[in-house]
Amino acid sequence: MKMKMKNIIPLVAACTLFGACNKDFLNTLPLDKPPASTVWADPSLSEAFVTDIYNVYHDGILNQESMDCISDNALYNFGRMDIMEANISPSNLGWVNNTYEWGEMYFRIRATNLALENLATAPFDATLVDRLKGEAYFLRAHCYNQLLRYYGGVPIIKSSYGLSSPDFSIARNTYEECVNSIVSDLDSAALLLNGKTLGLGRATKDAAMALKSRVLIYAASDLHDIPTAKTKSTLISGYANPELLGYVSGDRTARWTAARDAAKAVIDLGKYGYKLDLTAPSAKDDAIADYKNVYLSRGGGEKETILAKYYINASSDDWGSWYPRNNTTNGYHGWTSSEPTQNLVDNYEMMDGTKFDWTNPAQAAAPYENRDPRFYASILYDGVPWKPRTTDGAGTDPYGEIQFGTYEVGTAGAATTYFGLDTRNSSIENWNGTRTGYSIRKFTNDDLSLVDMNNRQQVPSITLRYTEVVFNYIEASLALGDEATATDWLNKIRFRAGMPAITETGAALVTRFQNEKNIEMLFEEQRFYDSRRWMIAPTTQGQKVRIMVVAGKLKPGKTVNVYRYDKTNYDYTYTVQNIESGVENRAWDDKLYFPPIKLDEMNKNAKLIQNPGY
Amino acid sequence: MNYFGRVGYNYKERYIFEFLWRYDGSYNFPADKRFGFFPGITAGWRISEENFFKPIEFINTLKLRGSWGQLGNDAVYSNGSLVEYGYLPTYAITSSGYVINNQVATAYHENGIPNPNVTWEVANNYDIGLDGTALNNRLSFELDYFQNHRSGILYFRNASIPQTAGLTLPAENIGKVANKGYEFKLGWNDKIGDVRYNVSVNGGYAKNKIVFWDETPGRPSYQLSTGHPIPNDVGNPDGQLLYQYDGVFRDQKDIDANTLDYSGVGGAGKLFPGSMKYKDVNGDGKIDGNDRVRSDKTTTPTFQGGLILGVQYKNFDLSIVFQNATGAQVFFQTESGTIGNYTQYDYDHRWTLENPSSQYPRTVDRNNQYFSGLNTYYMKNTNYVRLKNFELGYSVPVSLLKKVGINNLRLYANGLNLFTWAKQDIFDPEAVNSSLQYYPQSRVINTGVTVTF
Repeated sequence: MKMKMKNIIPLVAACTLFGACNKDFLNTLPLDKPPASTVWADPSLSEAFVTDIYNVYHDGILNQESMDCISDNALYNFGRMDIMEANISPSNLGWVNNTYEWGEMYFRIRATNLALENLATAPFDATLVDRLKGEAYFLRAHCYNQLLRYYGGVPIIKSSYGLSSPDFSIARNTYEECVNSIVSDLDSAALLLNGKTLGLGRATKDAAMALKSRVLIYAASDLHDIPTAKTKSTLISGYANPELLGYVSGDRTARWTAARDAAKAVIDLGKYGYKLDLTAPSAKDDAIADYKNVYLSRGGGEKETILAKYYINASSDDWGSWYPRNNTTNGYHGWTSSEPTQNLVDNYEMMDGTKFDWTNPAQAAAPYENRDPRFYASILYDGVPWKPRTTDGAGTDPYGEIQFGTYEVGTAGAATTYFGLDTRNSSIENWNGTRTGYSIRKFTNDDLSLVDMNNRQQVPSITLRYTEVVFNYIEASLALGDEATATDWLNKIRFRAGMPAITETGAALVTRFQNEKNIEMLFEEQRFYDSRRWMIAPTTQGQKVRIMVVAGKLKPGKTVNVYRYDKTNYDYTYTVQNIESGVENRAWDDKLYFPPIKLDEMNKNAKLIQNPGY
Repeated sequence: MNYFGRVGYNYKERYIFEFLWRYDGSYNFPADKRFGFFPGITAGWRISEENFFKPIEFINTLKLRGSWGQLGNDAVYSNGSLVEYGYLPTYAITSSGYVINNQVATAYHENGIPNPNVTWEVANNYDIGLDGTALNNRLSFELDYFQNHRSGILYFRNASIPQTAGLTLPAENIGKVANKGYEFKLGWNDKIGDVRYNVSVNGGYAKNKIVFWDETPGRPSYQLSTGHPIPNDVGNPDGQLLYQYDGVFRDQKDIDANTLDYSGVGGAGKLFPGSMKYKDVNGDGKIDGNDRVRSDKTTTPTFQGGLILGVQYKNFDLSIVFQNATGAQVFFQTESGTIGNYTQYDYDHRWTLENPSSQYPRTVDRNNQYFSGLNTYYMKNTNYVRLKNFELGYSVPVSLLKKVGINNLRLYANGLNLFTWAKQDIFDPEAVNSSLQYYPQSRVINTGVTVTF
């Protein structure tokens, strides 16, 4: 090709410059996001970082779906639980709450590790540094214990990864190693937090001691003593890596002793406990009021709280503060989310301390009379006086009483059927209604002026309660053969609840203890774990959900136009049924002792070993 | 901040050459990785201007052109928001705070972990094309073949880093994607007696393929995304993993004959007549997450085309537009059950006791069965041809109009979306929303008069 210079026509040759060619122009820093170096040199920013880790508690026991819905105590209204149908697998985890879920825990564990690494060289006040380190140790222990009691042994990671870390794969530590690591963190926390002033809501030395008591009582339990667990489960017996699930050898008595001593150390602080010094049962009304004081954290009941997450109206719209709306009945425009089952209700003793019995005609005809006072403080049942109805229900029910049944109205013999306002055939809202015939009252303030459908409450979500530690002390004492001490403390709890003393011994005493703990600690995230570590889950979780069907038939000659619970006008029948299998078809499989690690995580980390049965 | 420039050269309208460049800087990258130089070249050769071409008379114009260019991208999105300062270790405020001493205390969290090496994502675009007209300009054509290679794509290593690391991962320059395809446009216009007409056909085919990105190491090969198109949702590549529909349990006999373990998908105790069967892809006797297979199809069609026809005869005019697309599929799952109704298709085809089927499952509430999730049964092919527009008009002769003082009067009738021929007739094939919460293309018929005074 011949080409001459004169034929070259430069069309455009342009250079456009912005910003006066100063490259420093791009050396900006984000205005709203301080860099790490600033955060860790500043005491209040460092404190704010540690404060954020407490969000790992989320809504805790006040979650819309109570953890008791994955135990025999309750049923979740909105979708069956795969874990309760023995239908979970690494590909189908079902509901796993973010208060113990694998990814969320390791995300928070990283934060504790970052805090501990950076606080080691913090340039500010040593007292604050120690306090923040103590809180970080506590929170790390909490996260690992959440993982440990759900999954079994997990990889212990005590330093933060960077992006260029050469190998992210890591094997699970044994159950025993995890316990030791958690206890060591809690001891560090207790040491560092000793004598420190801490705002309400922060972990204290006492919280570290109470959590240690929880960790050690679990560690001593049947499920985590592999020789014992093997005798009770062929699945665990055949598992190749039982060290991930519990102690394969060692002195179990020493573990019980350590658990007892850890609980006793908290009791010996002498700072906690509400009305645990009674020598005889409280009167029924006092017992009900006291139980409410404890779960509403008021009137002295706050003395039960060792650690809690608090809600105030000025805080963001936390779901836990909507607990009453989430759980009151549909007839009050509530959602009846976490519903007590008949299985639970049957476990409430009679006030005289005997077992409730459906074959006793008098009890079967009036199942809500003369029960453990905690029943009345915990459960909404048919006919119980509750709050005034909102305007759309006040005409139908001017009395403000729970209506879980179907009743005749009109004149006996020519009556029509009326579906109660709190049923799934309610004229107010026929969705959101209970499926079990009950709803949960515990944790809802029953002040009549509070309208639950649009009222947030400021009741704290307790994560460590003193009475749990007392139960730990009782359990360890029982295991060590000290029945006198165990019975003494068990009866203190019962007297506060208005219940008579227990006098049994041996296996019968253990059974009474187990039931007592379930009733007292209802909806406090105990049952899921307790039924497993006591290895009673095959019978408790394996049962179908039982529900209550209430019918009110007019007595001869009676006329009622506006329904109200009234035994002079009505004959009531109480029928217990299994729930339709399409709602939730409960079944037990030993694989449910330890839920699975998800398939993706297994694939990403070749060193992980899956739990038995998946 | 950027600098850019352009130099062009044109020799006798025969050889055209242009060089463009950009030098871009972004505050999103660390100082030493901040600037990127992105050149580009285009060249054209108008063959028909060459003397040697002059004797070829049936071709009127012919031009060969080619280009290569680079472009940089500095914008990374995570959950829909722009990621900034990915190279700095920063902390961010937690909006909820945490209640301490009955007051909301300030809380800060780690704002993802830094990637000190983050830099420009680069796209290399190649295009070669041929344009021309022939046969007295009655035929026109444009042909293009292109390739587009993106490298250093900013992507998250979520797939390979286990959650135990606890990392909120930053974008890293780890992805490579190749996109190839062609486009064409052919036109013909002519006259037969009083009838003038034109026809044009256009189409484009494009298919992208992931050359490299982050993969979960322990996965079976049929689940890897490398070698497959970019997923519909880049943030959720596992949305393309599908269980393989294998018919339906027709009756109890069928269930009794089943030997596969469905507990891995939550199907234990859920096998009833009318429940769906899945293929045991890896042959381990168990249906679980490892039996999902990566789908090669996305909601984006690989081919889209059109046909335009125009006819004029005396005072009549007619125009017709067809549109078609192939190569896409949509996950079809309406919120039927507790929220919404069922489609006519699901109603007509459902398994029932009276009308058992080994092909169609029973109706279920959304998400409450092991088979109501992502599986191939619910993936619907969206290939279609649609008569997009049809218009017939008549202009009243001007001679008649002058008397009444009207300049122009045209009567017409047109229709939009008159006919659709689709692989499935359950929903509008142009919909991409799986729950069909989409306002369908309506069929519109207009008749009208246009008058100009």
